Amino acid sequence: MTTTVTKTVKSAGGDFSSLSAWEAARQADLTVADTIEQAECYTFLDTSPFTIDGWTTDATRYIRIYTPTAERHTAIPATGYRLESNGFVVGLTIIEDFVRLEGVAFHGGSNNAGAVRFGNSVNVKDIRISHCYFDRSVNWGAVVFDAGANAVYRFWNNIINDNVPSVSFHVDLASGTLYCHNNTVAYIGGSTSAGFTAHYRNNGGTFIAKNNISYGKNLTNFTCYSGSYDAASTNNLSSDGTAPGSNAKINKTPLFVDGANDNFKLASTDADCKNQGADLSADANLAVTDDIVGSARPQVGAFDIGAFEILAGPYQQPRTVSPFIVNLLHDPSGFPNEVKSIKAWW
Amino acid sequence: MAEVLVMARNNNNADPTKDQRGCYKRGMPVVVMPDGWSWGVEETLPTFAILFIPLISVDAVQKYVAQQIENGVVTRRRLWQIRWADLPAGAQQKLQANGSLIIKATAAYTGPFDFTWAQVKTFFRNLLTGLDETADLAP
Repeated sequence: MTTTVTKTVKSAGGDFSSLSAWEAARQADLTVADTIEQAECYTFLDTSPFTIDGWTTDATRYIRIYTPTAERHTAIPATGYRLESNGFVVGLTIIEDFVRLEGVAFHGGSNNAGAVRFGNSVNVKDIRISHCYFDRSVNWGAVVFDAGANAVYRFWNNIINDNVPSVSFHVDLASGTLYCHNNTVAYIGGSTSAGFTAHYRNNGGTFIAKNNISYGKNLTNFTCYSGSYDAASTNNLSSDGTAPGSNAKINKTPLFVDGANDNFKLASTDADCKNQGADLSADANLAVTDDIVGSARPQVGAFDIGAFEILAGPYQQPRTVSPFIVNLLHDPSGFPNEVKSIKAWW
Repeated sequence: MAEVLVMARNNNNADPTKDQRGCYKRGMPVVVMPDGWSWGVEETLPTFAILFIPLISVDAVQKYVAQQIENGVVTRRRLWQIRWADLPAGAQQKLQANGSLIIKATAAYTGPFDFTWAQVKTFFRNLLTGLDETADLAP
């Protein structure tokens, strides 16, 4: 019977103090050991990029790197466990065939070479990346799916914060099959891209895109979705005219909570994404039942487009809550009646 | 201000190509961290040893955790490997007993140490060139 082995990665007091060291220590033939090997990552900035290689895995005995809910990013920068890369180095290179990432944040430092890359081979592969947050992806984009024609990728509930636009393709399929559901790739800023860029690109595989957002404000030499997409693609949104598949939402402007400050959660007043997604709860290839922060989908009516599901109720969590509001919510007794009335609204 | 986590055992894979390319071998540096790093409870023997190199910057030691790359392809986990079996008996005994060595690499460091960088640098081998290290470490 397959057992699961979990080791912690913490800045202090854990089994390991970096994912790189965990990978070196736990490298093994999981099919012989009959184990699933897990790294449980806690909140800190891990500055040691690394490669997953030298293991043996299969469909039921795989590598899983994840964050517990309390240690996970909150869909904004500099929160939760973050893996940083600098100096033309990729954050994580995955050579192994059966790997899952859940809830990891990738931070691109200066001149990074992207967040996640793969090793190309003829092997059958099952790669799953979900609930991750990518920011500051310079030059080479966030994830290049280039592990070969027999690779199957499932990529869902991720946010790619394109806050340093450059020559980049953030969800870039070079080969294999990519199921890409409910992701958000967005840029809001005053600068323009230094070269051609696309948020999603099919450059040689089978790309099935459902319920994704691509938004690029003020970008030039830019397209939201590049290449051809599988006929099953549906309910994608773009700020230009390129959203692929049926039910495409083109030339749209999603309302984010605070996009100018890197918060790409959907505002409750949004109309273009809210309740505009396809129901993927029973999707045969990649069922989606929650959002990037773990809230159940759907909340009100239908699925929302993008990584974030607007919660039921009038309030959508802003990027920061002022001490005034915190005090009011905690103990309104000392506030005047006019202010107390705000609490009911919140 | 560097501390180097070094593999103290061999990892192996039945596929010889994968074994050479992907498996850490004894003596390969894994990560470099600043002085006073809070190492994890499993970052010790029998899997790892730690080289303490006081007052030397992380950047000065970073090259020892680079992968071996040939024609744009990674061919080994690390370009550099400490010739563990060739280390002086005293160093091997200390590593086996304590899981660490203190290496004095700059005159500015006046604390206790086990060896100087001059004594140990020639045990760092570049696996691509086959040559041992001759360079000093800049503070």
